[in-house]
Amino acid sequence: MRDRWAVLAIAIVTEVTGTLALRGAVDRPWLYAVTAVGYVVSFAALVRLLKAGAALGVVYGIWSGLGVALTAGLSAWLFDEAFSGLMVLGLVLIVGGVLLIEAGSHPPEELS
Amino acid sequence: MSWVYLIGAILTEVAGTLSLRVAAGGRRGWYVVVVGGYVVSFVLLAAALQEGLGIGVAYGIWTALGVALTAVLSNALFGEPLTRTMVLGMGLVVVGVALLELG
Repeated sequence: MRDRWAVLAIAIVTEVTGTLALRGAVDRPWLYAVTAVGYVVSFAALVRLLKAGAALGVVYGIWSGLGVALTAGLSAWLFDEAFSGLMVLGLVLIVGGVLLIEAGSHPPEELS
Repeated sequence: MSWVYLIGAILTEVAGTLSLRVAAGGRRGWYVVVVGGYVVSFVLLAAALQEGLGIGVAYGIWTALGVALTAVLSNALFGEPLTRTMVLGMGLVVVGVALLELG
């Protein structure tokens, strides 16, 4: 089920887009629409994964972890926010943690 | 008081997330609990921020605890896998989120 990764990627990208739009909506209120659509699509993708039998703990851990990592990285770039060495270390730990969550979930075809 | 709001925000969000799995399993009425849980969660998170809790701290703790609680409860309620490697991975994500939000 390689397309599970594609659906998970869609869930993460739409959630990150929605969150960044929320941040930008302070100056441009129309972006609230992007936030709403982003979150709805993201949750629809999560439901699809769960319906296909993916484990909630695994899916949620990966979705949440990578979502935070991507949001922080893109925020720093888009909104000129500070990005410290500790934050980079945090990003590396999140990605490593996500890989371990995936590797440790049994059976292996739970998400692949 | 801000910490009480934050803990409430985390618990309602986890309840909403767990309900998502029940709803996806075919019991569609649970979508009401999903929406309700998330709405209450955001209201409580906003209240915690109003009380003066920093957004980085609030969001970091919310995400980290949310991931850990969801995994533990998914294992307890739905019999999902929770291996030592997964717990280690969750630990790394939790520390990583903390560094990212506080660094």
